[in-house]
Amino acid sequence: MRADKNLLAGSTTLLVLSLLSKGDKYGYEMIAELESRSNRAFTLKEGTLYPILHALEKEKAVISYEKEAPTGRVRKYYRITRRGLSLLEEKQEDWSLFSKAVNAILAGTDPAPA
Amino acid sequence: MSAPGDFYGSFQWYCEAVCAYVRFRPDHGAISRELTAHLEDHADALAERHPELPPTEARRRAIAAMGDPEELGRALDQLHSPLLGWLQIWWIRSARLLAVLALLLALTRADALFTAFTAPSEYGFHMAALVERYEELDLVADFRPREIWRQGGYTFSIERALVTRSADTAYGRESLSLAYQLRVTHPNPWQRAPDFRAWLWAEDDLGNRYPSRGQQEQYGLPVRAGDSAGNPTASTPFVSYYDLWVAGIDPDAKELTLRFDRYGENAIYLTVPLEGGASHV
Repeated sequence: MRADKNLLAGSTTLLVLSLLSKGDKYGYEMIAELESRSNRAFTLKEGTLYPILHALEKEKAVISYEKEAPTGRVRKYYRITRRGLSLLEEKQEDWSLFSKAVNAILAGTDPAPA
Repeated sequence: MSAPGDFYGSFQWYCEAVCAYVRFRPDHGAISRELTAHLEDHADALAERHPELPPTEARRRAIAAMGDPEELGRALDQLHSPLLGWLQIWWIRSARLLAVLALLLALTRADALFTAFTAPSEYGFHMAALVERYEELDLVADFRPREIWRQGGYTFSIERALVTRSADTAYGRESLSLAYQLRVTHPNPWQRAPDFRAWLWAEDDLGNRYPSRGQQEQYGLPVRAGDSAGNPTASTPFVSYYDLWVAGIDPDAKELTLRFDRYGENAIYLTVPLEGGASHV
């Protein structure tokens, strides 16, 4: 199954920060990791990653640097900052509140089989 | 790999299509490099997973996965504001320019900078005139008094003192004169060059007083009674020099005490032996 794009929109920032909290990464690496870790449930339009990364960089939640791979390909890496880590914590809390609320509603309205 | 006809649908085409919507040109290069690396990574990953796939198809799929270039370009444009971008660029440029100018200025004025921190010990007008007529002077002493005085962060010392005897008619009798170069050091550059000279007066061991200019004016004292005066000469961030003198000193006096007590008791209190002493110059 594929997740609804709108469901994902707000949480992509959370996912990106979470990935970066485990180490410096470049854009494609994050896409590949998101896909493999979610068992391909998420396949976002890859381009949308970059406005998110650039916005985080503008907020100083991440910093970036270019690094050349042994193949000669120059990739832009992102590193999470202290500010980014506290933003991640905030967003994690929001997310857990949100998912609890959704689950509570789903549990309450679970229709009894007729 | 790409003939001109292949431009449409190439990675370069995609990057240009994105950048077309980003108004802040200086960021086009970085955006294109980042997206190109991403597209190449994606195409390589496809080629690895599906070796049978033709390279053009891998590139096409990589671009398709990226999404609409216009949508991406417009989103990036929101984040690469031309106003902020140019402000930042001009800010960096002007900071660099200032740094270069400051460096150039420092280089051309390196000697002045050096003296600013080492303080030139130039004589003022009065001392210089005496030194010039040195041979003609009826010299009693030429020395560097050992005494120093510390007060309120300032350290006062006398670099050179000249005591001369003269039948100076200005005071109606034979008298002694003390000319001295006062050195004042202070660790705080904001407190350099204390303006105390108009209120620095002197008293000899016989009890005669030699009022300062400030006292003379304030109390209407006659200059004939003797006189303590002078001028500042050089002032640097940490050291200031003064060209000072006391004239019309009683010829029988052995010692002279310099005093500054305008703001309290004996703020400056420096005794100079009139026969000389300490290290003679």
